[in-house]
Amino acid sequence: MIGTKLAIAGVGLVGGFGTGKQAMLDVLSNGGRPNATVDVNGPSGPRQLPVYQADVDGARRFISGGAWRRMNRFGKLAVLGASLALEDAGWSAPLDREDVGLIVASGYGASKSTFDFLDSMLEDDGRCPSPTLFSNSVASSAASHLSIVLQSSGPCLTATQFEMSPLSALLTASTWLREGRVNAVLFGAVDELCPVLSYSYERFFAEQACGPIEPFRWDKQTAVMGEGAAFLLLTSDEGAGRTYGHIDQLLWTRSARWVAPRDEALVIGADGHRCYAEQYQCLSENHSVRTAYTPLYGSLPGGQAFDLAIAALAAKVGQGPDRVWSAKCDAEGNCGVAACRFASDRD
Amino acid sequence: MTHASKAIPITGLGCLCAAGGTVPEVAETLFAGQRNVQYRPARGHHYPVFQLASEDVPPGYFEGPECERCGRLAVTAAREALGHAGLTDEHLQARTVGVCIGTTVGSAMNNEAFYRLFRDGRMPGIEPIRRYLRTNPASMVARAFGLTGPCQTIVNACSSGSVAIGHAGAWVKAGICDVAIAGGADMLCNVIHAGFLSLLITDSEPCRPFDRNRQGLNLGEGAGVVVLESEQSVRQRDAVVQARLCGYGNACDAYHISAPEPTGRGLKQAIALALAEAQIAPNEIDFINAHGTGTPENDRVEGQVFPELFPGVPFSSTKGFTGHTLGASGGIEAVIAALCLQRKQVVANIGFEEPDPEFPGRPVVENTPIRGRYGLSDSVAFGGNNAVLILQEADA
Amino acid sequence: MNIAQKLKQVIVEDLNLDEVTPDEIKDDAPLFGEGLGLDSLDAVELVVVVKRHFGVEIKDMSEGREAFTSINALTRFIEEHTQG
Repeated sequence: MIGTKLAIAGVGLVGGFGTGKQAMLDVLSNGGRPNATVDVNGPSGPRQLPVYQADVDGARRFISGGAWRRMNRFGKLAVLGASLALEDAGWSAPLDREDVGLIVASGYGASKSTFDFLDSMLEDDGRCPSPTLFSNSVASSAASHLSIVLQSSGPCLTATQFEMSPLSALLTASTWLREGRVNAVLFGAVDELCPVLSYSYERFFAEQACGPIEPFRWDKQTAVMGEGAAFLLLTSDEGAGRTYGHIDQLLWTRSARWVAPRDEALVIGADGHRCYAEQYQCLSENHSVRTAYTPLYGSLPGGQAFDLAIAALAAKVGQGPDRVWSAKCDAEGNCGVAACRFASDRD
Repeated sequence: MTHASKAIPITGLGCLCAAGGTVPEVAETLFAGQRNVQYRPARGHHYPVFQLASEDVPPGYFEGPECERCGRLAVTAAREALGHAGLTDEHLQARTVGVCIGTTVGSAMNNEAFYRLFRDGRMPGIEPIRRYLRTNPASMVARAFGLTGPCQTIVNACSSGSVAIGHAGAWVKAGICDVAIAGGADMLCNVIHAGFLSLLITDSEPCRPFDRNRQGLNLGEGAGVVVLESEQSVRQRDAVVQARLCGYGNACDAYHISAPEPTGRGLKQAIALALAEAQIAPNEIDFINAHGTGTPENDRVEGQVFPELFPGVPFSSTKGFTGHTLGASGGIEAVIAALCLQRKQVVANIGFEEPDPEFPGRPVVENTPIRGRYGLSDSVAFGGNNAVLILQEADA
Repeated sequence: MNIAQKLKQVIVEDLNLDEVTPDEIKDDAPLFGEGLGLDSLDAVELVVVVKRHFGVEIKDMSEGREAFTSINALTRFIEEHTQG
């Protein structure tokens, strides 16, 4: 466990629920659900799978025409989420700064761009692979696009550790701020839908990929694919401005070993994947105050960043507790824990 | 902005690449000036590549799935580094051990065979997906040695390995872990090769870093890993220190998705940050292991920046021996930099013959004696990420 | 459609130039820097575009630099390198 103080100065989100804080608050009040379908073809024949699909058009106001045409959708999701977080914090862009770190955490990385490049490689007998698609196919492309759009020359990182990507990234954000390497970190998770992902869900889960997500249902597969970006602007103290509160503890542990503090709210990252059910059941079953936000944004590896953003928003408007423990598990039996102390508008 | 200044002990080194299957073999090849180039067909031509020699390929490497190979390379290098450090299973279980591995191919789902079938509507089996989900390189290292500390696979293009070492150092310094296994791993891959060919930045001859007639890079594969350890852990088991990580700087060009910023401002910023953390002046740097890929743009930038910031300091690129190993390069070159400090000798920049009049920098063309107190290794990534490591001799 | 017209169309499509139409591209205007404002990544993409749509290979950027000065220059290059 490391003690830290990562003040949350701004929150930006985009996903199947819509774009921005109000869209998330609306589904927090009214319930979330998939907003689109994708066609998929598997051994049982064609099917439509529900998905939580993001709209990146909102990123246009942050990205110039020349940059827009070249940027992959993965990058646009990142720029949109990050720019909304900056806007929320009252920061203007471009930043033109050296002292802001950028961290993109992603489970699947720029997979869609990788497959787009493979398409260009396999067409025309392999004579004409596209260098632009290749440049976008590296998982670091989103962070590169972000640094260029924001004119931010500080340190930059892309972490791909599946479900543990956000927690590993927060550990790095914490060290950067503690060392004084930066004065702020724009941290976020980005995951994107693609046809191969849909095909994987169809093959792994068939009709069970239609959901709805039931995070506390331990005996059934209920995950529904989601995509989007959730960004937090983190600073080392709360400064003069009003913030959402702060993250005060980070822990990389084993699911079987961690016990959440009994009387404090627990937000689990259970998103309907049965293979993680035992871990989430173990750490949440006897807990009195527990919730899961995944039905609001879908199943995606970077979900813990969404959980933290939503918990912060909820606390601010009095729709959630101010002391929250967020826990996300991965296939290796690891559990990433972030403890938060939020502020509300009543304070 | 102030930085903590304590140097972090490096107690183990591990490396495998075209230059050798172990650190001693790599050292022997480099200091002997021996180049191991192979040729692979692509798009009707044969291109020089730096691939592992058959005898250096880890057991089971070609039997297992391709997506596992970067992780296997990382595990092999980590095994050598842990052995070098004298860290037994008992030591590891008694400590929090983190893993930080940089990669490009190791994080990408670019299984060509699977995707061909998929796009043709042939409904491939999903075993490749299942395997991809299990072969995250940092997770593979953690699993191989039963480690339960934090893991991070870093995809920062060509600076991944250096960034991994820099971040792992910060984790040790912050007490997040007692020991960290850090570096990079990458394998030769048709998809990546096709990508670099499409960018017209490869050389059809063995690469010529900083040479007037350089045409571009050659790809390579391998892994380079260091063991970083807290002072307390070193004292507890009376470990031998090989070198120390005393400075790390990371900065973005914020310029272009594929071209380096021509004045080198991001590289200069990263260098300044690393020097500040190390609390040393530029004239205390004894040598530089350059990124030196052999591309016209990269070498022009470094060829301007090095003589400007470090006049008279010898520099060389070792990519003439290893090829450009992408995410592994920062890790492999950190190991090489540590070796140079220990031997008090800089490796010659193989492949260089004729100076380029466009920039003043001239790499060393012979193995060159140095004082051996501080060495700098830089990595300049696609997309504009610049990472700089400063290593210090063990007995500073 | 002649070579110049086809070039303008595939450049707009394959480089995603959604703020200009093929008809708005002048035959003698610079493609890089001023004029259309393409950059180094567009240059290597243009090599692929020319190969894909016209079957003509540009081996390296020193060969490309001359051909890429304008639509007219590129049209001439394609005509000179097209068989038959």
